[in-house]
Amino acid sequence: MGLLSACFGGNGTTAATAIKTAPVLNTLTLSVDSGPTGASGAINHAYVSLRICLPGSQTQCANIDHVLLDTGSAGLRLVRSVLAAQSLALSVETDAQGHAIEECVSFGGGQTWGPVGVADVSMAGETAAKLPIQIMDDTLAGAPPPPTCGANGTLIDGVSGFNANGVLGVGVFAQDCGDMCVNAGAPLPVYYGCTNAGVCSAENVALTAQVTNPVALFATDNNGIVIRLPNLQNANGDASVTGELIFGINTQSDNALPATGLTVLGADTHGDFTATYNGNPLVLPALLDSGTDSFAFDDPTIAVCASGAFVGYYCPAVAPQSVYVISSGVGVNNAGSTVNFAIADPNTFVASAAAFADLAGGGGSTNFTFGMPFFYGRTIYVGIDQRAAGAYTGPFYAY
Amino acid sequence: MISRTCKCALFLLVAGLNPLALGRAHAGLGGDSASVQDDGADLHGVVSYEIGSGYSVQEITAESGMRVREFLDENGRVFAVTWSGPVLPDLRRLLGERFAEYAAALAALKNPGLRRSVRVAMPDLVVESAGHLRAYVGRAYLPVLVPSGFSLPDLR
Repeated sequence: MGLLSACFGGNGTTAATAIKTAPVLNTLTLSVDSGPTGASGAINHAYVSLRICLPGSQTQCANIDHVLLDTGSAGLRLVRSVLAAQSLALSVETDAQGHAIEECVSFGGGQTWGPVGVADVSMAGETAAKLPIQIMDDTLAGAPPPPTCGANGTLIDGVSGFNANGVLGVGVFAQDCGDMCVNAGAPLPVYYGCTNAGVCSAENVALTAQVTNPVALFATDNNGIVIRLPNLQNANGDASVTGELIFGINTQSDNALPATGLTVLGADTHGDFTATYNGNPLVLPALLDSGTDSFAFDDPTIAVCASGAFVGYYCPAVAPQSVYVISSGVGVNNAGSTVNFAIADPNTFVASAAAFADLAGGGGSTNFTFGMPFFYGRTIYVGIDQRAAGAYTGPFYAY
Repeated sequence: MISRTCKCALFLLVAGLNPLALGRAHAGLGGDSASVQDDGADLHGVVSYEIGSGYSVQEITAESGMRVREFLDENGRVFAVTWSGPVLPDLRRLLGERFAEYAAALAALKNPGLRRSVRVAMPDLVVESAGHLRAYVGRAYLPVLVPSGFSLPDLR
């Protein structure tokens, strides 16, 4: 009797047992390495692996590695031939006319084209169900791209073009295009309805059908992400770096916002904050962009590498060259912050390494992009538009 | 001789249609000044025109928010174009004959995939293209044609 009392509580009654739900596993390994098999040579590319299934299925699935982490865009994009190699054929969204919905998305280096498919995508313990994703149509199994999308050789749809099997866009928006693609008087050349004959016309698409940031569709931990990467062991080149992608901001003990020392940069309706570079008064749109491999900006006083593995990046005559950038948030979170960084001479870099700390260059004069070098040795937060994260509301970047 | 109302070659640029098919000349880099004509209510764009020292600027703004500026020298040749807007404009049209050179330069970049800010600089063509959905911005110019005394930072 005494023993039973000890088990059930001193007075013999059953102690109420709170059913404690274990927190959802929300951390994913983030790996900076040289890229997927057959398309290596990547620099400052951070990759994750994910699981993709036909909606509702637990068996018709594929594990995809080397998906590029991209805080500068929203939405998951996977190369068609990678899906086909694992025998995964997603059904394609159709519009009210029964036409396949396809999409053209532009970036500085080119454009990507392909149909919008639907899948269940899981990372760690989180799942985005019926997630619209872009299938980058490297085999052109669907409609051909319209003339404005990648004509004359600027179409990039394959693994070698990205050094990745796909792109995981986990930026500050829930959909890649948003309201401007929903009810424009003249539909923007982003989403298209394509007939069976392969004739495509630009059209408006509802938010729920647009390519969507998977985090936005998680049941929990869905207000943004945290990225943690260590400093490089050798700033001039590590073969690989391992960090964490954490889902949710201030939703679990592992993604709490720090009480002090946080710089929060509110983003505008386009997803940009602002920056001025090295004393130049010109105000530039800026973002924290893990999809960019360097500090990308224009400084005509710094020499550009004319040849070699880093042609096009900066080769400062006296290296390392110290510069600074002052960033400013937009809206409520508009504190300014000065970031000092160094530009190394890439000719001193370790050949065939995959991560470099002080790489700069390759960018134009119209923007300032904080690429992967900014992420090393930092904890970076990316808050989704209109979602609360602690005392803050997205869209914001923070570190 | 520049009409104040544009029935926008620019709208057609954005929508991917071919203004040439409608019998309208189009100005791209290195080309002559566009002749813009009224043609009806289904184009959404307004042209404005300003004159600087030794150059002039045609600015076309569309309802979508796309804004394109074409910079012309005293001979009426387009020596520069700038753009900003929610989507990338059709660079084949804006860069005209120079597009192939630009595409080749992109293809020669190390790690071209997902470049969010690009600068390709050849002696006869410089193109800077940056941004993402909701906000693209860029400029392109022909160094040889830039009027002396023109300040490149003014290319916005």
